[in-house]
Amino acid sequence: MATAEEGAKIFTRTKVHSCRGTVGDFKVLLECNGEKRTAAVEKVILAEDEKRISGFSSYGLTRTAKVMALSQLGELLHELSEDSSPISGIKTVVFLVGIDTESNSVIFEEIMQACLKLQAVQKLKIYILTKNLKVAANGLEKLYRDTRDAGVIYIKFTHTPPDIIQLADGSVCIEFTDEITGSILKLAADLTIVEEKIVPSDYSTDLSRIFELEKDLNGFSQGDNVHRLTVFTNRKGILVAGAARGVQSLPDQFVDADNAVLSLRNIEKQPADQIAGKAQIENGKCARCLTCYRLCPYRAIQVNTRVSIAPAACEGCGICLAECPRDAISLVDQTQATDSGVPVTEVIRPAGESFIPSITAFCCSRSAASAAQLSACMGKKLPRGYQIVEVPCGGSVSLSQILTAFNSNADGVMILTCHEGNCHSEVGPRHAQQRVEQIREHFRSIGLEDGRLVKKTLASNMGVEFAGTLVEFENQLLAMGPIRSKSEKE
Amino acid sequence: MPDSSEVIDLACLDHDKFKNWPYSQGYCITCGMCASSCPASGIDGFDPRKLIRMISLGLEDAIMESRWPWICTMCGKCENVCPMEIDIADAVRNIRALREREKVPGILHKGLTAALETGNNLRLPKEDYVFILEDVAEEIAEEPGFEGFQVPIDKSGANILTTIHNKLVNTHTEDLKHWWKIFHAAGEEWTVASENWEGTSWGYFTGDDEAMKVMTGRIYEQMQQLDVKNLLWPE
Repeated sequence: MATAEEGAKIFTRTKVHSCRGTVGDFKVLLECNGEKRTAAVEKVILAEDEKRISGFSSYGLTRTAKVMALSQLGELLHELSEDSSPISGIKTVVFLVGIDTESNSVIFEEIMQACLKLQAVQKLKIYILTKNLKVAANGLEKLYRDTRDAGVIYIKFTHTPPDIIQLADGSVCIEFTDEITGSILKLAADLTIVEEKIVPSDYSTDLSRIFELEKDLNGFSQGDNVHRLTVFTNRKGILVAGAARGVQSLPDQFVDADNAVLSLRNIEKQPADQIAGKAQIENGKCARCLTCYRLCPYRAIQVNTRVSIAPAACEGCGICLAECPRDAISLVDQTQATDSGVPVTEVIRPAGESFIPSITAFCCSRSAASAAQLSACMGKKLPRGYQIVEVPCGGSVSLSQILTAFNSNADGVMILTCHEGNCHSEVGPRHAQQRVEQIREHFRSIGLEDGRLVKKTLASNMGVEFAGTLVEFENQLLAMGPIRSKSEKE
Repeated sequence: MPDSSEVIDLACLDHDKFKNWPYSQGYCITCGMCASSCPASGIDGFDPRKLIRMISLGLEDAIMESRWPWICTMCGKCENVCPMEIDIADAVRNIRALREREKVPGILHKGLTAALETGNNLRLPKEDYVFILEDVAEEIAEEPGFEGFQVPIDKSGANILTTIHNKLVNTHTEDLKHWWKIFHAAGEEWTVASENWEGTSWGYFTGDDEAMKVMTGRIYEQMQQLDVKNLLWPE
């Protein structure tokens, strides 16, 4: 873990109100014991705790002496030991977990441990009613076997949920068809334990907003994107650990905390002159429309008296420059053969020969460009006339770049991006799709085939698919013939 | 098969009823791999997973009455794919053993009773049996290269004793010829017994260990009497 010598300070009972700045230079407004103060910090780890919501309502149950939430049982079991006298009046215990929505291995571990503890005190009939048993964590398959050895019965509901009825005395009666045998079974529970959902705490949700973080489907402060694993976020220098980023067991949360500290040590404060490949706003051209500020997936745009881009936070995706209405943004030290930034070479058609379609493929450097190299290495059949324009992200290809390609004699243009959800900048494929749709609409209005512009997704290991995609496109263009507008055709 | 209209109160079931069976049946995760691999899945709604489930829940009456355990051919494909390494075929055999012998499905029960009483499932008298074998041998002897072929019945000191599946002296006599020709061509010292020659063991299929022991014991006795060291038991 980080030590005080490394400059780590621990604030307790402290609330974060706002955060400005970028990695290496965050200004965080804190409130500690009623006093507000601004702290200058280089990096941030968010390690907020989880919140639990009991699932009574999703099973149509209310809390009674015979129906309790998982945490409540946990407290009860905490008091119990193997020497404890049996809990009176209880013979049948039912756990309801993950029937309406999927549960997780943390909850299942708690339930299975609870079963073993209960069985150790007294011989019970214990049933776990669920849809999918979650055992994808250390030791859980063994725990499952232990519970089966202890006589715990699992009943899974894939198609039809059970009928759960709470009787006047507060106990629960369940009737269902066993999906395996087709038998209709009835279960009267003396004690029913209802699962809990693990969700981000309210404050964790606040922190996601304050630090402008992508969230996952469940609202945790880490986007559903493989590039964010294990402890990273869309913002450089802001890391998430433990329950801040998802449902995790306590031991895993501690591992996460260690990972976060190690990762922070690896994020070197970049020297100010290291700006190659980063976006930069040209003095005097910027109209301060804040389009870039809205679009930047990494929140690297800083708005002070001037709008600027923090090189340390910029990932060089180029999404901002594709949308800048003043063409004020460029990537530093990138070869730019044309005004629009496309190193597109004009295609010269040999006179008198049959039609060979000319294809310009914009390829994301993180995926399709590697797939292109791979297809060449594999000796795959590729179209006769194509050129690859490597771009930092599919979302960086601007409308004018696409049109420039067509102006330079391309019969067809492809934008090849990462798969949705696998884009390092998260939004690249969506931007590419929007621009393609926009231009295709114009094509249709002037009588051009809209199939001349397509967007596809590829992963870096898809060399075969790269070749296949291009050859298929070539065939489509062969059918369309050379590019000509409606007026030219007439 | 459970009666679909009857509601079973789980409080009345003893889930530990079959817990001491050593087939890991309790670890079933109801994944259905066995059901997908089973060549008999779908016959009368049967699949192996259902049987394992019924044992796990302790549905004793239902499983004893069910036709399902008798549909299984005990081929063992299910065991090969089971991720929890459950010995499904062994469990099925044990389920069959639960049933009263009088209620074992017709032909199996009848055949086994006949075998125990007469030495073969067909109640085939010795003279008829020997006649069939010699008849087949004569047919072989008519084929070129097998002139003078004879079937060595009760040949003492032979190298191999081979059992006879009852269908080979009933509807499938042609199938005897393949074995015998191979023995002949190989110059093998082989023999078949004139009594207790039955190679099928319906005690195995019906979960009847005692019957299996009797049938196996008889074959062993034949080997002793004829002083044969090796057994070919093509069942």
